[in-house]
Amino acid sequence: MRRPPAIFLLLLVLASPGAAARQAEPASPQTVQYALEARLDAPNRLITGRGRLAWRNPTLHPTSELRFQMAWNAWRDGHSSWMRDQRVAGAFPAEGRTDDDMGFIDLTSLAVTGQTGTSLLAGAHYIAPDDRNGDDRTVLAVPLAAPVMPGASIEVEFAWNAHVPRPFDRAGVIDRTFVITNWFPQIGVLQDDGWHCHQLHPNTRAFNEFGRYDVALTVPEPWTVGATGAESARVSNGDGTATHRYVADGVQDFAWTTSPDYVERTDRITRPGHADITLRLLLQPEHVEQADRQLGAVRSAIQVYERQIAPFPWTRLTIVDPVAVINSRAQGNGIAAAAYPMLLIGYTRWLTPWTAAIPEGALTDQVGREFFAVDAAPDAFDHPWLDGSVARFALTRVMPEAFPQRFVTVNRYFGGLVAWPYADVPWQVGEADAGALWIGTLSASVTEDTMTRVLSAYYAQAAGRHPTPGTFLAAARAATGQDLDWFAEAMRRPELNVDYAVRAVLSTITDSGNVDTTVVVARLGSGVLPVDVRVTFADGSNVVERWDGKDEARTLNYRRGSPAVAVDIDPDHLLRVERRRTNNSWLAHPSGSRAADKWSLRWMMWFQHMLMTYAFFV
Amino acid sequence: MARPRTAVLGAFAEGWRRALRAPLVTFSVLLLMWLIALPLAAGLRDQIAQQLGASRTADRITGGWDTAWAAEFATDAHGVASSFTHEVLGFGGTLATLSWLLDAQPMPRTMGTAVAAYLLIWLFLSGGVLDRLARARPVATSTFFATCGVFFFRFLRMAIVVGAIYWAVFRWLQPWLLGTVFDWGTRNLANEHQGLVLRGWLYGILVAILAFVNLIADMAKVRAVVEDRHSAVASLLAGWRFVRRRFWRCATLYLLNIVGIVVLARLWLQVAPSADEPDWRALLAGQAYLVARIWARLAFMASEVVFFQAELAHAQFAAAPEPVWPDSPSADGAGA
Repeated sequence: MRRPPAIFLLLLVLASPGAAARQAEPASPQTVQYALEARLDAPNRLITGRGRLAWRNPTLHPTSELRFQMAWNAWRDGHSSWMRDQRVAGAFPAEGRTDDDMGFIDLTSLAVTGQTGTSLLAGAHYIAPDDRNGDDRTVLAVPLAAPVMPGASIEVEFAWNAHVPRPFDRAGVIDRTFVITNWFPQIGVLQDDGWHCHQLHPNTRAFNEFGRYDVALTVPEPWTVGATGAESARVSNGDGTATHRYVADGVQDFAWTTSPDYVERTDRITRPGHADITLRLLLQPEHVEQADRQLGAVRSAIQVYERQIAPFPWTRLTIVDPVAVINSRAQGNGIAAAAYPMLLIGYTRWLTPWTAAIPEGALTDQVGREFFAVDAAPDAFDHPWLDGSVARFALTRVMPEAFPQRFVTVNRYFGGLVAWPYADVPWQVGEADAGALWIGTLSASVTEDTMTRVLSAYYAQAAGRHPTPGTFLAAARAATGQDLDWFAEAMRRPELNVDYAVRAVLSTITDSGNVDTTVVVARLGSGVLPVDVRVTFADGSNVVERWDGKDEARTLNYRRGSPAVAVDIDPDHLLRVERRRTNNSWLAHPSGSRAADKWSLRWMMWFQHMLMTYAFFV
Repeated sequence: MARPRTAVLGAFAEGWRRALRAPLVTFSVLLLMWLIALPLAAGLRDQIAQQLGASRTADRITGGWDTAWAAEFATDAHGVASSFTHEVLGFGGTLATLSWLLDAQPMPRTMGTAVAAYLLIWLFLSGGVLDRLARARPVATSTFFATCGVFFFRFLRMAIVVGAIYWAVFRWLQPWLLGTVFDWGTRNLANEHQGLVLRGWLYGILVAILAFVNLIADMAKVRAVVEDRHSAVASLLAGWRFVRRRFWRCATLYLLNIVGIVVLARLWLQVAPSADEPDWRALLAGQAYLVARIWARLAFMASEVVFFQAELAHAQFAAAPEPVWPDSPSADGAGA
């Protein structure tokens, strides 16, 4: 391995400069301290690094093993669990890639500080705690000669090589723009029930300990670097490289990016009673005209989240505008929007209409994740809804307030050449996952203010910690004053299918001139939730019944002076998880035919034009 | 003495004039499109009506596009209904169709069958339409269909040859251009605009090749009708020679017609109905544009006929005699 310049060692032993940190003191004791130095060999896409990790055992039990996540090995070949999961989902991200497009990370040395003669690598071995995939090399177990006792610390020194892939997920390089995340051997989280160091899976994030990161990055000079934390020093090495030193306290990850092409813009958000937030935007040159738009979006998002949740956790934020992929077959899928401490990755396209929800949607989503997935850092593998769904739900509340009625659905045609806004198809924040829909259901059952209190109380408890579902439930129970057992059950099985339907309505006139009405409502899904059923009669009166939803069907009987003209299950649309809302209602005089006529006619006109287009060539 | 060169603009104008004077042909094609599209639309209508049932949702979606309902409908949609998305709305639908065509995206099987049926019937009608446009005067309905019958199998043989060329273009050239070449050009590209410019050029090459094949096929059909040629291959070769010898004027005429179609599309962009437009206005605007497109297509054909006649024949000349619908054998027998 190439030795790092002496300046690194000098930098690392110098007294610590002021580090960028959370707005408030870390909620939990700092468990790790990383001192890393890394050199990027840009032409060969290689990172060579060395580091020192001081780790404290935060549990009540001794441990004789350390576990490291080696994320980039997920992209070493097609056998990793990440690749297998992608294939199961019908995606083939490694298809057509050369070896140079793949990624890997190898530890070249690992020893307890002061015992450099005794390598820990000899006993190190890859394990697959999540799925027993013997070919997966993303979790390295390292046996120790002596256990680390509760509250005691150990310091290890290590060196590694990593190859930067063409983008997979959230890391990689296109041309000369490198986005580097989960890039070093990252120690997992030891809790009282054991190690939580997961293999890399799609749509999850590394689960790391909070602590201090002191990182020296050597890149070609004069490339721009953006990273977690504050830049405390920049030294020209005289060999065509420069070393940038970044320090961050109280964070659980460190990500960085570098490119000679970035255009830099800055902005500042001033807040009464809190420190200013410095925004630093690293833009692709062709997106320069969007600089104000992107900074404005982040500013709006932060302001709304602060109104709804809490002060933004950081006093500085680097916003990375990655290379936009126009040909995923050749370029890879590109860098996905993501959030890391003090650094977020957005997404935009060249020639993006003002009414398109990018970049605002991606940036606002990631600002939310700075609260709910980064500063509050749940285990994304064990509790995916807590990592993604809470932020997703928060996004559904923030977007309409930050950008009221601005966006419409935009499709891109001709390989992305033409962006076409469908002005009469409003863009909606999708509550994309089941967890967000369940939280939406909880939200619909309480007032807006109460839900705001739920989210802010949860964040207050979770910030700087590793929250569990219990953290959220406790916050929700305290804010709503309800036991929320249904919600707790739903969060254990968020994939539950909730579907209620009006099965039959029958009105018959009795001998006495009254009308007997029978309404049958049914539960078609496996999810059980109490629900209101409203029956409206021709004389304008209505009855609202509460149904616990436990039986597969319920029959409601009425004797009235007039027949039923409408039945509505969940009339106030409280059940956001209800996937099939159409069968929730029944009208005596429906207008389904008119709607069917209207839309089939519209389709027919489109089809006729399509015939014309194809007939042009005959 | 050398024949004077035909004015392209004159042929263009005369072509559009001839098309305008053949309203029956225009509305016959419109009727044909209704006949092809209506059964599929009826199928879609049934699926929508069945999905809505007696639901209150129907009230909501008659007012405009409802994304939540559309997503729910899409989960169970099959066949033609799977193409029912917001991309059928307004001018976006026009763009989407063209984009899918150039990107060779497959369509649902049911729709593909309907498109194939339409193309076959259009091919049948082409002989009669070209003859009508060549003569520049109305012909009896029986004569029109008799002419269609006369040329159908010649055009069918021609379509097999031309179809094979189109198939080869989409089977090999299109994937090579928009696959291999585009991949090569974009692999390490950090500038989106450069990639899109490259893609634009590749589309340009693809469209130019398709247009060239289309032009030769058009001229071959024109020549087959005007000169009453029987051999499809000979007609295609004659079409090729005709275009080769006066390439720039043919290309200019073709481009002029394309510009006409683009102008119509631009007008459509202006008046394309929104999702909440009243049904009658949407129908009126959509059908008006459809009639304009049919007229433009007929004018396209007519201008090529006029150009050909002016170059090699004379105005309104068609070599084949007007076919006469045969009397019935019983009439023959009676000496009627």
